[in-house]
Amino acid sequence: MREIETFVSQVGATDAPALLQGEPGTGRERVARTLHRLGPRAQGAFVAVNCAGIPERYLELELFGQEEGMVPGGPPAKIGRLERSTGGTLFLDEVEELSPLLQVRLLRALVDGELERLGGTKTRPWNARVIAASDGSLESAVESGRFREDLFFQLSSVRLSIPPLRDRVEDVLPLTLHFARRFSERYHRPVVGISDDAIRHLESHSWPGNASELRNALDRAVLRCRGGWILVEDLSLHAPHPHRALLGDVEAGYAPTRSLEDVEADHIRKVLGYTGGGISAAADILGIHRNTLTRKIEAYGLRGPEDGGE
Amino acid sequence: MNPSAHVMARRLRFEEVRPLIPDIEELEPLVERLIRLSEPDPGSRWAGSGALATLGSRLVDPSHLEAAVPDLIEEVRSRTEEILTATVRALGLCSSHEPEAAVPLLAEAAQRELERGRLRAAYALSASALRVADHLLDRRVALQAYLVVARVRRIEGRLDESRVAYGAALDLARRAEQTLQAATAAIGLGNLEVDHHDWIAARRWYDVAEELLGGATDVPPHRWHLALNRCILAREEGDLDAAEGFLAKARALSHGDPDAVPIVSNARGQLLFARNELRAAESAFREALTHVRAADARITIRVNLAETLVARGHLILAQDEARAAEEDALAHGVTSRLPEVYRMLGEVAAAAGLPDAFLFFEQALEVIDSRALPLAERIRVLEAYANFHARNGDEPAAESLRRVARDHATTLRTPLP
Repeated sequence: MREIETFVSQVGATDAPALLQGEPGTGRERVARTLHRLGPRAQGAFVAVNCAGIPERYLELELFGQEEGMVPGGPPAKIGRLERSTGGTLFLDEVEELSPLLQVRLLRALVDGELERLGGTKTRPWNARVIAASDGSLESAVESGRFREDLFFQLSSVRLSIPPLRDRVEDVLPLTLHFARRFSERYHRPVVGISDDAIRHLESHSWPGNASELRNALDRAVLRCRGGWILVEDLSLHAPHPHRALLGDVEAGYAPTRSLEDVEADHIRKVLGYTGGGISAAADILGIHRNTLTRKIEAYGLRGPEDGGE
Repeated sequence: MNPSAHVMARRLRFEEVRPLIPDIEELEPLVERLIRLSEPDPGSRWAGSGALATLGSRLVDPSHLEAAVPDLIEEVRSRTEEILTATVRALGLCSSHEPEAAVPLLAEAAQRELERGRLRAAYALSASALRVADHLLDRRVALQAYLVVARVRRIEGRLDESRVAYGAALDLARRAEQTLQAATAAIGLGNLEVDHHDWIAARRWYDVAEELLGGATDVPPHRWHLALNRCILAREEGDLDAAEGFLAKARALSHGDPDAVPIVSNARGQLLFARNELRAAESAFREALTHVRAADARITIRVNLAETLVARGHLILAQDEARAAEEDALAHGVTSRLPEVYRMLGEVAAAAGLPDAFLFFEQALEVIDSRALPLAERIRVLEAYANFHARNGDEPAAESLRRVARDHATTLRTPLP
């Protein structure tokens, strides 16, 4: 955290393009917003774009906008996010996912200081600070040719690597308390404290989602906790795949000495129990045709259930 | 050593795979299976892109489909056999001067197709049944076929055609003195009027259904369904006390029917939501979830719960419920419900101030258009999308969407929600 604070204080007041590298959830956007706030463009807009989350068929339009009249009776003119960031900061998250076409267009806009909307011929000036974020794979993308080297250099005047939360366990407790306080105030739910077990649980977790995962866990925990204390059971750190959750607790693996038929019969029996004997519902869950399921029920000698699901 | 033994199949995004599958009816089971086999991209789970994930960005492993081929073939074979058998037998009955027996045969096949969600086939089979019935002196056997047509047209949003079919069914049922079927048709007509926001006409039809059921005591599902429909009607009219009364009646009439518990609890949740008693509404929906078995009903309850959680400002929990509804829809092949799930995810994202919330509304519209789902849902998505733009200060974009919604509403001859 100290390294990040030092970086921000040194770089924040400048206008330099910055590249923030770190796993998802490490707070890249938060750092970008802080740089924006401390910099000379703080009065301008902070405009964020997720380059991976927006499918390409929408991304060009979102970035560059379009002129009115492209399609008769079509949508009105749209101001793209580059244009909206003029005078401010453009934050490009997951920048490594930009397509080759969009890399070219972005590079041209960076170098020329101007852009064109889709369907337009008029160039418009563009002047924004660009902060890009990547999960750390940008250099290898450059090496493999998936990302343009010239664009990489445009984006990375200064670079910061944000370490994952599991490498800074000392930050878990202060972050936990910070989030607990925030959500307690937001939801008007007084939180007296967090149990020692819960703290140990949090500090021993691997945090694949980093601070975002911790934040979400505390968000849920504050809503769930009773009596003002956050306990281990209020934390859902390994949120189950929702589909698996519908089946209830799934046995954590079968003994390696069991036959495939045995395991399959057992699972079918369990699913039928869950559906109350409904064959169609069970077939849906198992992902097989109901006739196939009926044959398996007969073959395994499972009790013929009533088809209450129809 | 065979080099190909070390080749790992690459998982593809659904939006990459879908266009590669020819758009022919015979391959629909393949697309449905692909959807069920799809999984969220674990690599983007905690990334910003993960929060925006929809069906298109889910990963599929086409190599898994090879194992599913025998099952898919069986599914197609079994369905084709059913339809062929019913049709050939119906032809045989017509040829042996027993057309009155052919009609219910085709209608049964139509009903099964409807339950499978295959609307085109359901309509085609019931239309054939009706064409056979056209030549009969006594057309009462066409009753079930009319009901299937009515249900199909209602799902498709072709409400006027649905009304004609329900009307014909009611007429036939009365003449055949089939009280339950007549009440079913009358309830269907009432529900159509609710779709049209014509509360007075809806109430008239529910009164007809009540009258038809008379003092019969062995019709519990019809009675509590009717009470529940009246509860919904009263709620839509804003008469929450009357709605409460009908809900209590539905609960009493449905006592002992396990299928009723989640439905009644869900209705209770909706009523509490209408009263702005959000904490109690949340409890009612959670209660409903503990009892529900059918995926379709579970999706409805989760979406209602998500809406309540958004209203309470508990966005992370709302997102959890909406995502669980999405998994339900995908895992159980109820993709027709995806638009409302994505609409809810869009509303959650919009409430959280995410500028990319528009992606959910766009995905909802894509699913509606690709599956020819009802205009009514398209209207709801467009309205929610317009609200998103308006909230972000983009009034021209909002008005553009509202204009399209108004055009759709005019087509349906129904007021905007």
